[in-house]
Amino acid sequence: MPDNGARLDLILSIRLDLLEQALDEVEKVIVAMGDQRQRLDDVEQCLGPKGHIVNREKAVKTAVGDAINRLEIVLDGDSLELESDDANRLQDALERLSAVKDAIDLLATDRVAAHKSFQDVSRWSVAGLADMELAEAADEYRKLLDEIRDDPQPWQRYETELRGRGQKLFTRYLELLGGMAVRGFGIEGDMVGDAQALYRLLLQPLGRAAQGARPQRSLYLPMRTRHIPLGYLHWSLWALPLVGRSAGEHVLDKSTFHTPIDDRRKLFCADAYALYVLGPSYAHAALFLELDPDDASHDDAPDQLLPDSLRAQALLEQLPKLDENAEDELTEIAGRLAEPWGQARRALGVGDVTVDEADRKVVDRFLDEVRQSYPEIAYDTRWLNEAQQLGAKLAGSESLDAVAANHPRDLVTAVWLARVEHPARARHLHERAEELARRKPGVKPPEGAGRTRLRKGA
Amino acid sequence: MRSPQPATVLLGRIQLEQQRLNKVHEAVPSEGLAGALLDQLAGDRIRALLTDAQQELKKLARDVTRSGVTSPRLTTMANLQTATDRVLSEYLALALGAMARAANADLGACDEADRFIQELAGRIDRRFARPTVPGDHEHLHRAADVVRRRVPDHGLWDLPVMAHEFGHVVVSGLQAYDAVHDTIRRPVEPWLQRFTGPQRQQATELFCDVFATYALGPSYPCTLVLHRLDPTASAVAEQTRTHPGDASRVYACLWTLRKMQDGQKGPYSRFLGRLSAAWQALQDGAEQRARVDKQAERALISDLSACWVTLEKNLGSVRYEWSASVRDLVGVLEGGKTVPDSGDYSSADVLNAAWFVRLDAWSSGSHLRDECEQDARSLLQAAWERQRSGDAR
Repeated sequence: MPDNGARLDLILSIRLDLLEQALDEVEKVIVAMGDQRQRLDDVEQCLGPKGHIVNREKAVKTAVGDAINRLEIVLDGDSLELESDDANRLQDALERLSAVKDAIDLLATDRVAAHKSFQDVSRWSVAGLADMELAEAADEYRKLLDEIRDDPQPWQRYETELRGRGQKLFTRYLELLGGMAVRGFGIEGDMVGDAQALYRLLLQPLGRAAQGARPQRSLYLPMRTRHIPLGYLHWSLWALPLVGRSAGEHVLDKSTFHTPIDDRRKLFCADAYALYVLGPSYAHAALFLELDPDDASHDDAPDQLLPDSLRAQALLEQLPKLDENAEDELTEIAGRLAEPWGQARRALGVGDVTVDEADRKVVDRFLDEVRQSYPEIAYDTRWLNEAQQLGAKLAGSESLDAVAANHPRDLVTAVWLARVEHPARARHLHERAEELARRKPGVKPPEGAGRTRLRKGA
Repeated sequence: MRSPQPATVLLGRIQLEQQRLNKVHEAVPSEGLAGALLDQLAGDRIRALLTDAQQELKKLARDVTRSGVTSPRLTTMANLQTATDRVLSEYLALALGAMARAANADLGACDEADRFIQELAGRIDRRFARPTVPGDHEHLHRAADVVRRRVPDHGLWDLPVMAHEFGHVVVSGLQAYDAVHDTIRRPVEPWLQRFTGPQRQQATELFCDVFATYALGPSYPCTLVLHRLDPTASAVAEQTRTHPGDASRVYACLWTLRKMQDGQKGPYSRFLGRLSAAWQALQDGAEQRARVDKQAERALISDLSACWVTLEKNLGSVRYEWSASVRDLVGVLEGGKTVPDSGDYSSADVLNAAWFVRLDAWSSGSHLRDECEQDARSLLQAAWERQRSGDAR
């Protein structure tokens, strides 16, 4: 029988939190859309057939027409006798007023054309969408997340509701909006930079030619998982380490390794490669965000060669073996990952899995080869404690002014370690990590900050 | 047979003692590099001490001439002789030290220690910077307020001990102005008042260990645990000893380091794990008395907690904060990396990076690069140069 303990396990809790974080971003878009819509209305009121410009245009045309009539009467000669010079001046004024009248007609034509063109802009702008319905939909989505949290069988509810067709459509819609939020609020540039920094590191074995390669990440590209294809999730710091697997596959495709690796084991090796380069952050991102505890995606797509449970198991086994000098610390981290993973699997009523000995041997051999050939790109476990301290700082509330910029690999390690340590501070952590991510490595903290503390008391 | 009168004997002794003091002025170099150095180190202070000693002898001679020999006057004479011995011994040590420095017999060790202490003093009060001379062991002599550096010592790896000696300067010299009550107070004194008699000396040494750890971070405990202390020595020292037991000192340093990262996991965890394990392994064959027992531990925690409050309240500016630069410095010392242009690091960062690399090499059984120590020295020089140019600006 599945274990349906009322307490939400950390994996589901993190997935729901992340969806909620995405909803926050969506709500920012909804507010921005309302603002845009008001601006579009203002333009319509200006350019439209009943708008301000038309009214002014009519008033000016009437005034100019009146002036032309009066001048024509005077110049007619029946009412007044004019000196030759005066007649010339009036004739000149009449011609100029006629030119003004023609110009107003031209402006009116241009206004009509601009208004017609604006109709297209307005029609296709997302700001034209009905924000009320969207806000209601987002609200309903949030309620659903709350319901899943309170459900006695949260995993089952999550599986049913979020993988159901209706929700999927809505999720895709939110993905679009989440993507807009990411673009609109300037996160994209930073994330692209960080993803590229990780990619450069991951692709180092391929040499300079690969350095320009762009991460295979797009705001609109679904993740491997079929669970939550929400664009925002892609672009949050939490998911950043997931670039490791696709980079690993790329390295496996382009490099020649002595270890024979068949297609089935390629994914194992790509995971192992990502873990080797990115360290614990990759295992965290994969288990907490990407892999299905119940292998449902494997059931949906039997062409997928490896069930997620085996990939997760392999990652949990490989993590402590990353560095024998840090085995105790890594075992502790792996234990903290294995616990919620096991809890999630029990909640879904699935048992333990074992990685086949032959698979394990291939992965170990592949990793040995990578270690021998590319020691310089390995995750350096000597700085794990530093990442833990950075994580504690991010989870705290002290100013980050004195904290130097970190390589994205260290930053994502710090945020993931801290997230597991302080699950309730996830949003706070993400905000502060983003603040830090915007700083570029090598940039010094402000003068005098942090290095020495002010003398107190004396 | 007539024997000499006691007054004659005592006056004779006083006269010889006065001559002895006068000879100091003639014997000690007053010119050249050594003379200038000696003068710069502690010339005024020693001259004042010699003058004081002469005046005391003169006063005693006057009293003996006027009122004869009494038992207290004989005691005074004995005390004055001992005092003169102390002053002369200090003066001689200083003079020899100055001559050794002038002849570069210390191979620049004291110059390095001077700059190191200047940097530490700059974080509290520049006036606390005390000069160093070579000696047979590290200590601060209270007469001249001059720090001795053991020469030769273990070079870079022993430099952190200078922070302990600087701690003595802080204990005796730190004063804080209390504007509310318009008074001057000595911030470390309330903590020291917990101890009386010979315990006070040991408590001062314990304070200096905690201070050095607080100011430098892991490098000081590394030097103490891995280079200096005796794992077989009694954990609680007899009252006649100047320093606390070695295991107690190790406990104090590691406790402080743990406290510096609030008992959480952090950059010191790696050092703490390795130093604890190394000390434990070194104590494997030691007797039970070499280990800190529960009772001693409770007493230590109480003393250290109070000491920590004193440091945080009065000397927060000297507290070492782990810097991201250490990672870059480790890269340099392991070879293959250069310090980034934006690198901003202190000598404490360099010492911590050097110990990080050394501990790592020891733990993995690999060989420490031959150039490691020299590279670390270059980094130290660069840190001090940058600091000097910053001060000049």
